[in-house]
Amino acid sequence: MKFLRIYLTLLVGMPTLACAWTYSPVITVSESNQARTFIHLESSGNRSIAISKQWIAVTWEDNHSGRPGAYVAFKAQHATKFSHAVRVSETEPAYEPAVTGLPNGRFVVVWEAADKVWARVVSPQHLGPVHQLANATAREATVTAAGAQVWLAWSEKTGAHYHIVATTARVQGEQLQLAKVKPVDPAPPKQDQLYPSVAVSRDETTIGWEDRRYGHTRIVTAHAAKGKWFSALRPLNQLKGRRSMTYGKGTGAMRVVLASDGRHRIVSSWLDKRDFAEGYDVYAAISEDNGKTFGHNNKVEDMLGANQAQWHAVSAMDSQGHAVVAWDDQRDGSPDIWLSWQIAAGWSDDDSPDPMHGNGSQSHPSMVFDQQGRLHLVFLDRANNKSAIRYLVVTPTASDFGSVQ
Amino acid sequence: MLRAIFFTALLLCSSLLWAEPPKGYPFVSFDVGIAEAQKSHKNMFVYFGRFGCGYCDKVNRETFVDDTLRKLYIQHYVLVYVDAESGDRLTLPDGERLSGMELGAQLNVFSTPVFLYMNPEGKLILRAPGYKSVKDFKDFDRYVQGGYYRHQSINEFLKNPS
Repeated sequence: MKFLRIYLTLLVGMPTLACAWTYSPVITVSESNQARTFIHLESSGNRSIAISKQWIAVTWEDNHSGRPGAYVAFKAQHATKFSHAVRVSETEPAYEPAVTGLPNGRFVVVWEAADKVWARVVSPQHLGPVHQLANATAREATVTAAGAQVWLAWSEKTGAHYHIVATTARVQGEQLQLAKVKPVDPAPPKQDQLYPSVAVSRDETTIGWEDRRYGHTRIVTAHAAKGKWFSALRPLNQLKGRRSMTYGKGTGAMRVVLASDGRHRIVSSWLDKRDFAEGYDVYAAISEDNGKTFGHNNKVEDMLGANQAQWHAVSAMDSQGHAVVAWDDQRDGSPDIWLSWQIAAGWSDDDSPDPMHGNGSQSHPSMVFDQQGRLHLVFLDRANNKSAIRYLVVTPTASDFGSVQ
Repeated sequence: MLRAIFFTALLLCSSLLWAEPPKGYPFVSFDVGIAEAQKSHKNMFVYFGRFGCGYCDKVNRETFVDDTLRKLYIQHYVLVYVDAESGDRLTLPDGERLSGMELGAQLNVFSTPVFLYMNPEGKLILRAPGYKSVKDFKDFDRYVQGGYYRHQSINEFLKNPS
């Protein structure tokens, strides 16, 4: 078995070894050596890192002050270290901050605290006022900007269940001027709708979320044309035939992430349990029509990762429509981060270079492309009771990607 | 009367369809459970389930309906249910606050159901993945409650149960 694994590694790893992607030195964003201090890189739509002009912002939650709070740190693109952590949450405990970049060196951060969701405009110089986004019980906020257009979405309780609501915002100085908040699906929820992710391009908007109305969790999407509200939802994750007509309603899928090229392509990734015996796999689908429809679902991880559970998937797309997916799994004995990118035949073999692979646990990747096609990635690094957020820049080789329509 | 029957049937149906914790058992959240376990000095029985999970539904309908099992587990354990896809937060014994899904990732709960037996401090005694029969759960209970886990693996115990 051991020899078979080595053989498969060599055989399947050949194209990966030939890959000439370059990885910058790692920079630490934040770290803790203290027992009982926990850092979390989690957000709805997996948006823990964003870029605006020459600035990079990273958001996370940690409890170093004694209670979980939401923090942000900034770095100029060519700087060698991040600023000190700035607390963005005023009410604590606070969880799951997400960030997006505005065009002018500023960012919008959203987070959850006190069963509500909140937002503020932030920059390396200033923190804007805090805006409460929901009066009802709410959680799992996400935010996406395309130019000056900002979309915010979250899961809000109505009756016994949560449903996905969304709104747009205009940024005036450090103020957010919020439009009316509306449910994405106007029908009252019969089960929970959770963890939204939003992609915006050319004034069209696509939203995806986890929906339990089917008796099990499915990923669904809805599309809004310019100036319109969202159309009827469409299931995204395809189903295998039911294994049992007697027990359960079906397999699970969770934590969808959408990313756009800003033109017409969108990549979606999520965790999918259709092959349930091996845990969640990473699946992805591409839209060529700005989210109106998505193509066939493809399993992303390669055969060496196929018998492992994958966790914490995230997808990113550059302005040329090249798609990359990252996640963590334990195929080498402890959690490491793996990358795969879209090629003509589907998805590349998986790659896990040194900074994201090794002793301890490297997990929870979050990433975004800049305008030059470089991938900015953060992840959680835990070893020997120390935890840290690490950052690096990945420069892909454009010829490794499949052609884009 | 008809109304009562209707709502009872509805409740039963919903439990059958959605594979939540079995009815008739006082399952609580992880936070409530660990506080209760520390107060009562009982071990915890943690049921990791998933919304819509087939084997969770099967174990609910075929195993947990056994009344002797129900009495035994209510007597011996603080019963905790964790939705393995949930964003609901819980607090671990070391103070870390995280979601049900994140706890599942930390414990690599890749398939449901998974049953964890933990001591009142939250230390793992036994991990039992997959569908289990009444006999399985009664064997696990003797292994845990009898303290055999201190010097025997579960497989050794099951080969020669005392």
